[in-house]
Amino acid sequence: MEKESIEVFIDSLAHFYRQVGVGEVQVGVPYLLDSRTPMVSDFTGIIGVSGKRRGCVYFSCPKAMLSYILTSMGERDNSSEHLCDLVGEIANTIAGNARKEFGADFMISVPVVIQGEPERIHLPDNTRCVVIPTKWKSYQSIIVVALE
Amino acid sequence: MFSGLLGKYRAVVISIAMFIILDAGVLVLNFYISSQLAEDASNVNLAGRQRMLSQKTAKALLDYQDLEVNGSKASADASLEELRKAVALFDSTLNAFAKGGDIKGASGEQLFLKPVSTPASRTAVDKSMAIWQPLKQDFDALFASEVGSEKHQRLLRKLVGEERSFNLSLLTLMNDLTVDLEGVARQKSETLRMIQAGAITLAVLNFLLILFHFIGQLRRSDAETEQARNETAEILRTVREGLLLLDRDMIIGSQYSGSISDIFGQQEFAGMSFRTLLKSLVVESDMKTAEEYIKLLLNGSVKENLVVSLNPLSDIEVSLPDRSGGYQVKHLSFRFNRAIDAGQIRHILVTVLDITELVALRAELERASQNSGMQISALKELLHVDKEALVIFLRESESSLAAINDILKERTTGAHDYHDKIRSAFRIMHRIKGDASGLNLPQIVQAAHGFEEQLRALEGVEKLRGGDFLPLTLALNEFFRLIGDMKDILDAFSSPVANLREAAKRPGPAQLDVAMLERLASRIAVEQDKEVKLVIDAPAFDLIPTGQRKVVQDCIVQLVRNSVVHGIEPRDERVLYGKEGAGEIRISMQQDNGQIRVSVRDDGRGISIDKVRERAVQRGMYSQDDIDSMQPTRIISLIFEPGFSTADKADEHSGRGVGMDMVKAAIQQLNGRIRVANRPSRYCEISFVIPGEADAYPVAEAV
Amino acid sequence: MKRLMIVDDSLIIRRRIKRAHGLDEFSVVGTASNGEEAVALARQTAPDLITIDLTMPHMDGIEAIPLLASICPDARILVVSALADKATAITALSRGAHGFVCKPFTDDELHDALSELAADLPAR
Repeated sequence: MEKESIEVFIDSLAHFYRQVGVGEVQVGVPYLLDSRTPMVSDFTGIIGVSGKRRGCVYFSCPKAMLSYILTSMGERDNSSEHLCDLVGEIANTIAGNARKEFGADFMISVPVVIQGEPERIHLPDNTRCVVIPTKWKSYQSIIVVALE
Repeated sequence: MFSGLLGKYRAVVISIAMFIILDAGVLVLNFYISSQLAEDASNVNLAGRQRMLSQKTAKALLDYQDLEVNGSKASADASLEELRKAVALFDSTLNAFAKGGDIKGASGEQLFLKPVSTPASRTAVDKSMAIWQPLKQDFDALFASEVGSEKHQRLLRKLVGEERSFNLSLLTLMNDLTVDLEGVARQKSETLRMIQAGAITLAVLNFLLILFHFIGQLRRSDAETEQARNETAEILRTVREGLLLLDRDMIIGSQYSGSISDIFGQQEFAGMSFRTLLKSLVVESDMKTAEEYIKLLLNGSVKENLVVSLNPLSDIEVSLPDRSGGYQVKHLSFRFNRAIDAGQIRHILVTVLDITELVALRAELERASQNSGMQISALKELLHVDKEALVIFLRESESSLAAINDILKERTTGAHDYHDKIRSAFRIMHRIKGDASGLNLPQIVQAAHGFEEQLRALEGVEKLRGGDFLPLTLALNEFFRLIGDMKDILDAFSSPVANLREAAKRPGPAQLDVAMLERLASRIAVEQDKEVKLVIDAPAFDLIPTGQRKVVQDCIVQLVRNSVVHGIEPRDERVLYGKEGAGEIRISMQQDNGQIRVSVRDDGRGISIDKVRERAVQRGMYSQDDIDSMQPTRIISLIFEPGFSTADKADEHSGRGVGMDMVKAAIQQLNGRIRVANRPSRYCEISFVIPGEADAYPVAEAV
Repeated sequence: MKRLMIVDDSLIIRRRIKRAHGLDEFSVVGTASNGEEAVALARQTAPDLITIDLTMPHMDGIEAIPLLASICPDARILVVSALADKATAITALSRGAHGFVCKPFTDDELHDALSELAADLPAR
């Protein structure tokens, strides 16, 4: 994994927040995560990646943060259905923009959304993932890039 | 189109026209010849009649003379009438032969007779005329005179006389005429027959020409078709791609390339349904998709580029029968293109490629680029390293890297946190570097050095932000991979030697790794252009709790390094001071009251208090005033503070100001104390005392 | 102005399409969140262009596409979906869709795809 490829994901997330129109996101110190022990927050949107790079990219954040974003978009319905929809869309945006950078060889799946349940995430074996902690308002979220 | 046809078949058309003209010519000639022959025949007949009339006239004359005297009046009259008719017919015919004119034919029909033209006939006619004309006058006079009169009698006698003298000549002349006319007719018909024969010959020749030309052309065009077919077959036989055409019912066409047979391992495809072929290759659902896909291609309303991007068979893995009767896994790539003729999609051109090798090669390349040549050079390094020590080193390094990762992961609340992270990471990485250097693993030393450089660069960044650490995180990942790769290699090489894994499970070395320390010292000395000998007296190592031996050994490694780099002088300098050329580093370990004392002493230049002062100010660790107020022992303790370094440039072995602060941190963790005994230009001894087995705190593996 | 109908069960995606840059030449005449709604809405609004997701509750896109195509025979149907596989895309196209855009998409991708289909519309 190169620095540039991961920055693409960070930029995509920043772009998403800008699009929603609610201020800047702060990026924390990235660290590595053993692929056998995935970590998640309340809601997680996972995008499978195939083609030249294989693995997945996921975005995970607390429920409160999703509610906040929905409200700021003018959406009153904060049902978990809508929260899932949103977190999936964020993951989609992050991976989708990456696709624009990496080209057609970077194939991405439809987002899978989970609530909690880290055991449902399957990270590629024999590789460590890069965790990018991000902070927006007071909410901590993470992007995890797990590409072979 | 017509002119084109004419162009192509011009020769044939001309030949046929010639044939028709010649045939028509022969036909016309036939008519002409027939009419000529008829005319000639009638001339010959008329000439023959004249011959007969000349005799008939003579006979009728003699008959009349006789009957006039002896016969009845009626018979005499009939005879005279006969004579008159014969004379008139002979006269008119002879005149017609001479000058041309109408005469009465043999059967009473009117005929036009042309004057004779050949010299022989002419002569015969002219002579006849000369004889006949006086005779004719006498006949006319006879016919004009009254029957029975004197004049009549006299003329009759005269004519009988004349006939007697000229009859034979006339007969001869008329015979000559007949013979000549017969000759002319024969000659003419001969000529005409020859012309006819010529024309027929020409027509036959022309016919043969047409036949020959046609056959030749047919042969040529057959040969051309055959050649074109051969060329197509040649192309299809040699082209590497499998090529075949599907019609709108997905039936495979009769022409397909030889590679198709090679790829699918069977021979006959023509007329076979593409479905049948696919059925043996892919599962039912994929086949349905492929079928649907081909239908989309056949449906002109969907854009081709859109459809092309959806090709479900662009890379499929299939099992195909091979020549030896077994099955072989292949990767095939199908490509489909519309074959459009006059705006209609007539066929689908299917291109099949066996991409098995390509896929394998791609995978191989990917693997190769991932390893980026690491394995070979790493292998060389590993060959000469003590396996047991290596196993331990790799395990330790991995947990050290994990510790660095934990440091990165810790929440930060402000900029100073970032700098703390950098410093802590530095300490750990520096120890990895020391260990690697001790084991003589240049690749890891280099990686660690690179990591330190990155930390150094980060430390210089103002207003550090989390994202700035990304390169470091990735470098850490690479480091993990490097260590992992080495472990893999080691596993691959040491699997027969099971005890190596045993060793890996052991918590720490049983003895101080003397060989490693000696290698380390001599290597650094060579690099620094110094000479060093190591004196080791370490009987108490096994008294150190097993969990702590590693840390103690790491500290000794660091202190030895420090002595070689900072303590021992170059040979010339030593000689100048009256010392032995080779510096001595003495490592000793004693047990005393349940405590263990470890010391590393060198007979080098010692610690220069002034230089330490100067450096501490320069590095911005303390103000000049603070330094001035410090006691010498306090000054010396500065060398254990983070960020202190007295070497002028950073290299792999020193100058980071980290090695000594790591030692200090480690000893503190072991609940130990450090002492420095120093005599400038004579020696420096750094020792530490740690509690024995009972009092020791458990130590975190990482630090 | 070409009349555009958006069919997607995701609120976010519906907003995304509606607000995508450069789509000023299309006027959104309605949005539906499943196939059934889409069919009813198409009868009322007679759109020129339809964007449709494939995976939706009640009636999915694959089922809805032929119905929509028969209701508005001239309309161009653009599948906007996270196509799990090529087979689904092929099925959608053979059932009457005219193009597809993969989720996630950029505004440009969406705009290009819609414009291309709009160019094929019969002139009114």
